[in-house]
Amino acid sequence: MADAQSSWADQTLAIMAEGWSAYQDQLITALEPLGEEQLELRVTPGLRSIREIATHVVSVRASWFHTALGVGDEAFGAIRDWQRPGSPPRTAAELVAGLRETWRVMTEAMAGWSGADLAAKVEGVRHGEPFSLVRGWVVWHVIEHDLHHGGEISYALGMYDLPGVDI
Amino acid sequence: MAEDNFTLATFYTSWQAYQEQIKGALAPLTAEQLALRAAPGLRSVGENAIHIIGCRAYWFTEFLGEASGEEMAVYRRWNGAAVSGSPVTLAPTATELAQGLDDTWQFMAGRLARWSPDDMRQTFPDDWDGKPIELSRAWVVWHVLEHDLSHGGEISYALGMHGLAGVDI
Repeated sequence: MADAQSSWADQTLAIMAEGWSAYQDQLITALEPLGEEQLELRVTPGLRSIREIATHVVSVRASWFHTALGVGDEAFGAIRDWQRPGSPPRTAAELVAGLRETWRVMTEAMAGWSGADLAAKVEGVRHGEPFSLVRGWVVWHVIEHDLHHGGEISYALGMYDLPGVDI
Repeated sequence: MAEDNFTLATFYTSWQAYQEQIKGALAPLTAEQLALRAAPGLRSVGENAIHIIGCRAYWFTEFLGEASGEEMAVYRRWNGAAVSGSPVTLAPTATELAQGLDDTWQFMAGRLARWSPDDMRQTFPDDWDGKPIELSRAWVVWHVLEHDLSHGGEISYALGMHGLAGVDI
């Protein structure tokens, strides 16, 4: 990343993305070995299972970056539908692949955004509602969404004596 | 630095907004609710909040060497208690936890506002699994941010598990 970082247009985002990438690696390490029963674990019936949280993380990345920011092709955009009711449950391998693919598409876009790009407003419709947001805030929101729900995954794993994210 | 760097200013402002949500979730909790946890081996809601506050104090004052008074020393001791592996005997109230979040935020914000890009690149020695490494000030800032958010997620999940309102993002 150190070499890649120097080629990013916005150095602050490059630093954040480096740490974000390391966090994702830990999340992948925690998710990768999980079997079907382990992915179904949840701390209580009313809260999301580990599989549902991980699916939510992957799906929300595609939703914000594709629908709101116009990043990636239709195949990338379709990942936002992973969390729709009726969508097939994803295996650990699929979830890991989803994290890696969304990360690849997001970083390709992020690397090219300058400070001015990040300060620019983006407008459109998401979930049927019009929005007007600053691009840099959307990036932030996906970071906080990843980390917040990553903490949930880690806590749920810990409850069942499975290794989570160690930070 | 944050004032003339849009990306940094956005991230810091949004980070503070997340902290305000954590404070909002903690504020109404009683001592019994702060003691709730998902399993005996996991941190309680209150212990996670202590850990967030103590971690901020540790990295900014002890690791980066930022001069601080007794107030931060108290929070540094919270960190020692949170990572010791022994049962945490501290039991700050929800009000004290909110104060701790505010105090450590103010301390961090003062530094973040004055650090230049060169300051952010300055490195500090550490070791990882016995190997010497150099950590930049920028990495420390990222790490404290990720620590806040990841443990914030744990707090939120533990609260949700017990039918209490967490952070809605």
